[in-house]
Amino acid sequence: MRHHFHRLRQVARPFVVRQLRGPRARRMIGVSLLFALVTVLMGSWLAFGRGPLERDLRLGIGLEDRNWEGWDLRLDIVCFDEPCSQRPVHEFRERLVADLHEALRIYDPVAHAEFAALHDRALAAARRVPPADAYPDMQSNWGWERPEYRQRLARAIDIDFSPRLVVYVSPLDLHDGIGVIGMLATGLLVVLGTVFAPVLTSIVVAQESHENTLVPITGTGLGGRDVVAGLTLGACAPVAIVAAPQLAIAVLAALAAGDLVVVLGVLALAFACAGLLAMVGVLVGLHVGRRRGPGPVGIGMLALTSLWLLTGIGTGLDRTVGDGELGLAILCPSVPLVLGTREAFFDVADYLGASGVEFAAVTLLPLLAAIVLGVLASRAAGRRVDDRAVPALGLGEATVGALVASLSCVCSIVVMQNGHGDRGLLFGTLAMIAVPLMVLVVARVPAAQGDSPREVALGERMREFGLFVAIHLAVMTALAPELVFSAVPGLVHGTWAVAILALTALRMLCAGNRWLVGTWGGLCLLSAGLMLINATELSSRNAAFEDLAIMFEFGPLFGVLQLVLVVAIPLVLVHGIRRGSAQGLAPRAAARGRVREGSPGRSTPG
Amino acid sequence: MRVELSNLGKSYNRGAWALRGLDLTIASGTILGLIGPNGAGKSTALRMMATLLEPSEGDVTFDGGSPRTEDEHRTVRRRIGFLGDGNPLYKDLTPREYLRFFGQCLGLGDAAIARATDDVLQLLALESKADTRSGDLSKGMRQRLLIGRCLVHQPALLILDEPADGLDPRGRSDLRRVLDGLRARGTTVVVSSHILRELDDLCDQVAVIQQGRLVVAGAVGEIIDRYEVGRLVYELRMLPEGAEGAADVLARHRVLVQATGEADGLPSCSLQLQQDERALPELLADLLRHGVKVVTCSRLRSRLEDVYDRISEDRVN
Repeated sequence: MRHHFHRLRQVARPFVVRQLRGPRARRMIGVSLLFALVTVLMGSWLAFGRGPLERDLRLGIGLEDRNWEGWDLRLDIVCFDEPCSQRPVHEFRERLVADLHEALRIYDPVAHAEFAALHDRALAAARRVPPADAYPDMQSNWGWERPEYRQRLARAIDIDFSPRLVVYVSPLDLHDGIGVIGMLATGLLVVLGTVFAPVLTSIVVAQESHENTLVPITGTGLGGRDVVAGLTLGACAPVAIVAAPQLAIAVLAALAAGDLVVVLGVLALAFACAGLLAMVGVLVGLHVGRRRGPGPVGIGMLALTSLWLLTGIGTGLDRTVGDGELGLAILCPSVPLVLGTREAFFDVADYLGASGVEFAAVTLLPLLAAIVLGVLASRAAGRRVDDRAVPALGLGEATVGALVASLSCVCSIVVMQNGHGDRGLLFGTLAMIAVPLMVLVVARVPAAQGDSPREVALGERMREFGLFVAIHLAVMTALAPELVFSAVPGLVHGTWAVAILALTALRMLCAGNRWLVGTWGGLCLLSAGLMLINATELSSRNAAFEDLAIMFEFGPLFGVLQLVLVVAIPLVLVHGIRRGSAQGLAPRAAARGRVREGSPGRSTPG
Repeated sequence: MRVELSNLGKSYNRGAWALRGLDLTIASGTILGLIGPNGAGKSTALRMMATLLEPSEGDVTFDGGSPRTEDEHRTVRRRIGFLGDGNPLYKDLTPREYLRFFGQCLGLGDAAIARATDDVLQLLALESKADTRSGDLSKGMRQRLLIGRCLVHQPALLILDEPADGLDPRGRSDLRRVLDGLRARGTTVVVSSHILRELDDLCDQVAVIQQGRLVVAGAVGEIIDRYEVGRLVYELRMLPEGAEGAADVLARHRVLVQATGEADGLPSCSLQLQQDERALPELLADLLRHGVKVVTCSRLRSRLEDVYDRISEDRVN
């Protein structure tokens, strides 16, 4: 461990020094202190601010209860901005007087006999406040049948028709205020780690890839993974400087007014997610950076990470956490991050009150998945930097990736459907797993040296794909056996669609950027997507095998056409993959004995 | 460092061979010039030599050992300085920062980096620009800095792919001086260049590659002797009186005058005969008849360029 840490420090040093050269380090320290000050000021403003905006924010986050009803029943007039005007008090008094006289006017001694006492009190009060005190054109729709109206009338009589002007103050005390500051600091740490760090990493890597400056670095004896670690840590160094005071604030606030264990748990999850997203940034930077500059890569990563975080904010700030939110939390760790950030300081949704399997699933599974997938992504990125003609992932690594992805998808669905026996939802896992499986199959294809289409050993890849699907089916069977066995037609349908998605990915991989193939690939993706939806539908209504050939309903010709397409689409894709791979080999046959030069690292065999 | 390439070959994506069957032995402390037309496979060979590209077949050994594992590759790379083609600088870094960055990547200590940086900047005459942004340097200076990056760790093997690109005559002369100095220190140097005159009297050995195959390799003198070209170039030294009439006579005989000047205090000119050597006695007789007093007439030895022209088919893959 110590050796690894020493090695990491040695590897990171040049990149961190380069990133913080000259006055940059001092500048970043200044920015970090400024951010710390802003966090404290913002937290204080949010906790103790008396304006409607601050109140709305507190209500949105769930730090304050809506109190309009209480104020209404007490006949208090709330003033948000001092100095408070007396005009609303006068208007309200006139409204109460109008209501009083309307109550007396419509009183029916027979129908409203049970309210006689209140009527008598109202009658006595009416002698003190004549109707002239109300605006002449003031209308009232007061009614004896409404209990809240009676309550308000009684209260008006009690206070002698003189409503109280209450100056609004935040209900939060100092303890809560510290909690808000801590929550803001923790939230900022999450944003820095999961948005800024990956975006900066992708920009730095894209710049290196675009300008072809990685070769001299690998020539210094640093391995691919060393370079990836160095570039990532270098790019994240400014983020780390800004994050340091925030971390101190978050920990201190958790000690004073929150739950330190939960804060540390949130930070651990944020760190793991930051690592995973940074590795995604590295892969995107390496791949896209060769053709596009760092600008588009950074914008793309910003969109991706922002969407990821906004999903968490949209779901995580709900005041109630149901099965849907918990299930989503497993697949999208930004949900538990946002939830945990709030719950560490304010127990709003009783999220941490969940126990047993659900709590473990929504907390530990995303953490483990982020760590495992982050490590796999870093290995893939390291091999890409090494620029060797090997697959991005070994078979063992890809199998682990498939297992983690499958567990995440199935657990998510199991938590979401929570014993309701919703087979349609369960088969949604096939749609969810399709993308990770496509990525894994593509990661098993050896890299091409240069921009040429890759050669795909189809048989080998499809055997591996079969293994990944088998893992997924095994996980589904283990966690929800009764649902799987009762929905076999949908399963067949869905598996066909997922296989088509994988074949399409391979076809596009070995075809390069030919638009016709791209269009054909798009159509295959679309048809596979529709088939997945159909599979979900078939599963949910307990369909039989006959239901698979749905086009027979429109006539035998359509039915036959469907059957032909079911066979033809995979055959055409397989043929295309074989032909695409053969084109990579064609020059060898054409050139027999003749040798060609390829510029190293960027070569393209024609 | 002694480097041996045995049956080295590379094909990209199992396609056509970019390089095949390359056998070379580079003795420690010598300079090898790698010559070949564009697309011959020079860069591929150099990258495999630098262990940055995996050979499809064959082997590269360094001091008798061939690196197999990643760790062994790393260890070897730390002893190699490699300048590939098309490796741009970090434009925002100054030369000092750039050299320090690579020194740190190579795992050198702070003191060693500071010392090496100063030495390299001085060696390549970049001291005055040490703290200027690299993006603001001239093309020649940038090229010098790129070369300097390869020298920071005093490599045992220096591999330079077209290092003279962008250098002015002074820069080229400095580069030769630097390479001479490195050879004297025992560093093995492999350099590829199109400018054969640069390599002629600098290299101990040359290897000519064409269409991915080694055509010839060996000591420069031996190759020139072996491929002595029937290039009929002669140097005439004349007495000053009457020398002015030489031009007319040479023109009449359709002789190409390559250069005129002075040799050992006498007017001289180097000329190339269009026909065979049998035309020479008649030419000399005619010169004497027209009052040109020829003192010596000596045949000039072929140069590397002539050998290359002779054996090169000048075909680009």
